[in-house]
Amino acid sequence: MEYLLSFAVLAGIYSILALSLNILVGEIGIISVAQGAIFGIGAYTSALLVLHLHLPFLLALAAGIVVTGLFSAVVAIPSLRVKGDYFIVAAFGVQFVIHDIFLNLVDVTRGAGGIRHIPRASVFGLKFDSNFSYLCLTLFFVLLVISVYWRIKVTPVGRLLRAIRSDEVAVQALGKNVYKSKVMTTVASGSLAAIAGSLYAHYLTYIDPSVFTIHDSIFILAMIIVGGMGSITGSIMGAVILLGLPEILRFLAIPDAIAGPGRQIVYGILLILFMRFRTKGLFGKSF
Amino acid sequence: MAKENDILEVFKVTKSFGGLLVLKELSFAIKECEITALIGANGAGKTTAFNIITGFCQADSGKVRFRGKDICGRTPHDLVRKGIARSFQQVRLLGELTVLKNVLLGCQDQPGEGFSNSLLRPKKVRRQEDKNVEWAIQCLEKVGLEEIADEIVEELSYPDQKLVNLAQLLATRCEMLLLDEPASGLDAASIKKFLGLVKALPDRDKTVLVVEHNMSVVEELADHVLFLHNGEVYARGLYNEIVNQRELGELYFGTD
Repeated sequence: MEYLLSFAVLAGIYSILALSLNILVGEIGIISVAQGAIFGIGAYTSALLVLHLHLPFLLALAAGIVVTGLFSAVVAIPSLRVKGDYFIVAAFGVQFVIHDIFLNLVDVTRGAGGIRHIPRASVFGLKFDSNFSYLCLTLFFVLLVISVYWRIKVTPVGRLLRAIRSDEVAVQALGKNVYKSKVMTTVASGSLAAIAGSLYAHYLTYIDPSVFTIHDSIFILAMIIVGGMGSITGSIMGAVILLGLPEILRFLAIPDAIAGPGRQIVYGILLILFMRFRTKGLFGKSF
Repeated sequence: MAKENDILEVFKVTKSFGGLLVLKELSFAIKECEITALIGANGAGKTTAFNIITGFCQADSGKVRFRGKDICGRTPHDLVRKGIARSFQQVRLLGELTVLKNVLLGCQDQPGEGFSNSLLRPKKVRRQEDKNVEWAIQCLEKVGLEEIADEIVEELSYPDQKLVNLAQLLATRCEMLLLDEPASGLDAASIKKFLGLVKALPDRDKTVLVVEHNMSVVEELADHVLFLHNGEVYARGLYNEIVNQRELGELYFGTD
């Protein structure tokens, strides 16, 4: 039972990550392979603020949102000025640089050894130190992020983002500041990913750079490709399916030396197959 | 050069692409609430002039003034807010969206297009969205498409898509509309309907600049014609004055 609860918590956290990336990829059509790094910035910010400044969890989470949002803006402002697919190149750069910072800024991040003894989340004295209570906390934030995403979808901003994805020149010709919309969407996406980062850090009580790599960015991208771009249900199902697959493989007693790389190969194949044969994913609309 | 009722002035605009000089000190003025046609052979610089006026391209030198104010260097979205909107030769609509949503995108006052308003000020967003929907439907009524407001644009016929585009431009409330070959791809009946709508625009206080190759459309529409050749205005005047000049026919068609 504890195993299932733990899986559900992680599924919730990765659902938030998938939703955050889907706002960028599924709604406005900006492909990013840096969501792993963004996730990490949220996690490290929250963990360090709680450990060193003894900030309450909610304040540390809010600070993580602000820091990650600002960072996303700093990256987006120059890289979205160029046309075409250069943002993907910038995103690759950001991912590798941030991961290197996590590894090498040892005085702050403790490098490869990671940060331990991160306190479990507590809100107004209520400590979420059981899997069940943490699941409740996570579900609260999952619902919050879903309602933010839903609100974006049903209001004029969602219409604008989908229009930009469809034909940004036509949208410019109608008087819309496409560049500003792209920057703000990148900031929104990063800010939501920070929620996942904070929840992750305060659940596992340990973080290290190995969870915030390019492989993890591709893993998050695979979730929305499999689940469905521009789909709230798809984001959640993609997270559940891709997190669940390795757990199912565990029961097949595949040796770890094969399971690890094998998993990467499976994700890569899934990505290719879905992009080739089912671009809308399981629940989404065509890209 | 600009006169009192000139809404747009293009003054000595020059533009090169690589080594190719496309516009050579192009100068002209457009009168308010009139329809002016820009004609000329392919490569004369008509589309480049359009792109410069609407901010999709920057001039190498020269000035463009709208209502007396310099608009050089402005972005396309800024120019729409100032009152200049354009269509494209190949109609550009958001195919996955409905007709109504396409026209709504033309509305300029949209607090709901900001993240903070859409999340934190739902009532303000709802109120303005209701007003915009009302305005968008009025624009669709003007082009006779109010019945198909909920249809997906990519499923419409090409003539209807052109009308949706015109409704979008009306929704922007821009004073000046630049129409790039509005008759291209349309059959005779659709052209007639479209021309009727465009001809009515000056009565709605709109100024129209049209690029067109179809001379019967130019004859029907234009109060004034500018003939472009080699990047400059070679001749200007009424339609009959232009078409009766044999030399211009030779330049345009390359024949007697």
